[in-house]
Amino acid sequence: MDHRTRPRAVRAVAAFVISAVALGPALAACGSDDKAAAPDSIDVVTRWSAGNSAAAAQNRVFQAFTAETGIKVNVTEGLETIDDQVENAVAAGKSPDLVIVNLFDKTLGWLDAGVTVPADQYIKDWGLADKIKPAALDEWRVGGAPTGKVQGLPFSGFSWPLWYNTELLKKAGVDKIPATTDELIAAAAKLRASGVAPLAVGGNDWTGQKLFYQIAQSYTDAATVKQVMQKGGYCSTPTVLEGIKLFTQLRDAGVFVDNAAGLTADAMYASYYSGKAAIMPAGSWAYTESTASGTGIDKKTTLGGFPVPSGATFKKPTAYRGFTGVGFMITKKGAEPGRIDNLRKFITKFYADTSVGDFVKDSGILPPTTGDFGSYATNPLLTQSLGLDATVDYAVVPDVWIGAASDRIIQVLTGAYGKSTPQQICAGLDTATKG
Amino acid sequence: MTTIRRPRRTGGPAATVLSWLYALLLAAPLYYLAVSALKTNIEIFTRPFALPTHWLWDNFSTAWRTADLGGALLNSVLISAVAIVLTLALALPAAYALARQDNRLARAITGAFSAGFLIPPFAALIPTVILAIKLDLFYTREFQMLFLPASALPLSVLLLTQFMRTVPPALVESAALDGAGHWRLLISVFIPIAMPGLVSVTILQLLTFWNEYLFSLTITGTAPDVRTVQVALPTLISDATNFGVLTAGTVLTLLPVYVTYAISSRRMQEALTAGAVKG
Repeated sequence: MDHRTRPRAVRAVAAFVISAVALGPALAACGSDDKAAAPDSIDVVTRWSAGNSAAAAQNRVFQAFTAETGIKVNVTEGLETIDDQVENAVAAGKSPDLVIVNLFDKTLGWLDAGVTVPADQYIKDWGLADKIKPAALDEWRVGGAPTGKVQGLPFSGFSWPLWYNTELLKKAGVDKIPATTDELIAAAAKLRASGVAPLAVGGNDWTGQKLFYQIAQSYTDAATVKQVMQKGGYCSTPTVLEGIKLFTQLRDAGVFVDNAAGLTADAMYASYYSGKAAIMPAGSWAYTESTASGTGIDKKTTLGGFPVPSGATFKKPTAYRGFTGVGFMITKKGAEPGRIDNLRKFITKFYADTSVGDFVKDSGILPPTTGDFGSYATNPLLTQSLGLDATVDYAVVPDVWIGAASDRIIQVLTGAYGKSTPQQICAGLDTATKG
Repeated sequence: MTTIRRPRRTGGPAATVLSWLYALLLAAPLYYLAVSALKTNIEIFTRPFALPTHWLWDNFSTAWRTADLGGALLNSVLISAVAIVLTLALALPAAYALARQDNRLARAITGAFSAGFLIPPFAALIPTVILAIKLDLFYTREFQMLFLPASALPLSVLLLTQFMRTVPPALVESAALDGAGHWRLLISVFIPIAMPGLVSVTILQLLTFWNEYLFSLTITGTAPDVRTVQVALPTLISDATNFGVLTAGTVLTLLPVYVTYAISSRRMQEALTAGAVKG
């Protein structure tokens, strides 16, 4: 018999309230809200969050650094909105010392906005000038100009080839990897006839954006491409418009998978890894993931470039290569006299050959430093990619040049993977570029 | 004189089928979530509604470990619990006062609370960030504990006021004649009678507090020692996200909400039933 006089609901709420009040101070003591950095600690915001393939290698550097120096690393994981997170923190007077982030969109404006400081002098003073590849440094200069200030220290380079599933190509009767766009159209038709989707791409995100630009710059020299990406003129530059027409020609010939406009990178990976599509454009960060998929796709894949049309400015199929992946951006707070020496020890630790090798092994980064990292390239695709220079020409990576217009451009290009005409696409890109 | 008996309205087979279809419609996303938590990316994208070929139970431990969900769950519990206590502590007396008054001032105050609905949360983000900075509570859990009740008060007060207005005046007068003051009336008369409303508000606001993301991300931040579970979960997203692990993490964050809801809703039904049988 229940002798309690209050209804159960009253007791339940009362118990909850009492527990909450009692637990509050106790739980509050569990974590510290005091983020004020002590002299023996550094505050770092990193793009390599827990789910990233580079997170483990990063943590090993953090731990080794703390073990050697006794300096604690306060790590905050940056999410998709890492740029907003850092800007909010700076506005609140809680700036980190260092941001490990890629050079894109808003981060391109941080030096001008006074969020970060130039890295030129640190690179010299810390003995990294001879170690970091000049090509990598150039990509981190303001405006990509040789005289521009270096916005951060480049670390994670990438190669971004096309992946061809040679097993599926052979089954469809395609004996060699297409080298021209005509061969690609013919191969796509054979693949479709054999029930395999041709080229998978995320027409709804950054993967579709990059592939579009790779095709659109087929007839244009690098300098003009950079200018158009930066300032617009897609419709008024005949060679660029011709490249856009090539894109729509390939689209209408069925080169891309059906409904490419609605796909994202993840759908693209799944489609290729599972053998439903025979070709995809993907960067070196996906090498380890493809092996981990357990489908054996890494052994059936040959890396190459995107086929070129006749009359193209490129002699060989094209791929991307770059060093704007992830780098170290030093904030004003981090550059303060009392703190910069901690950052010197921290950043140079990352550039040690063993650390770079660890990242090469774990996440397939293209090493930013000179040296032979072949022994770390245990992934078969990574080994293949080290020989790409002989088989491909490199196109201009759009990131730095399109800057903050990136998201608007993706919206236009989703239509391009749908049914937009070349004129609609170029007009949309011009509008998106001007903001 | 014959009486015309109106036929009893029954649902019939069509209504049963439609009910089941509706139930399936609601269950489909939950099923998709549950099976995806045990699959690889390839299976999620290529066979979305099929059962897993290999049941990857490890996805749960990987999600728990990788996103440090234990600490994040603790933070979410702490913030939600303190926020709900503050919400009720403020809303109950306010609702009592408004329920017992029927004059212009009371109506104006009720109107002021209603105006709270007109402010979209996104519009309040920037002023709230500035407020947190000025109070030196940016990147702390304490600000969220104070802010969430403030945002929950309009709805809570209005709902509780309506429930408290159902208290019979004779009962109040009788209690007053026995010498009950305001606090005694609130605790012994109004709260027990408005208990279904109180439980409803508690469930509703707890769900809101638990699921809050925008302000938690912007103001509380992503540091492991303060972040909520909704902010910890996206750390599993990368350039090549393992969606099986991400979905497993999502299931883990949903479980406490589901359990709380299941327990509280039963309590609410009991409270309603108890009220119905008392003479």
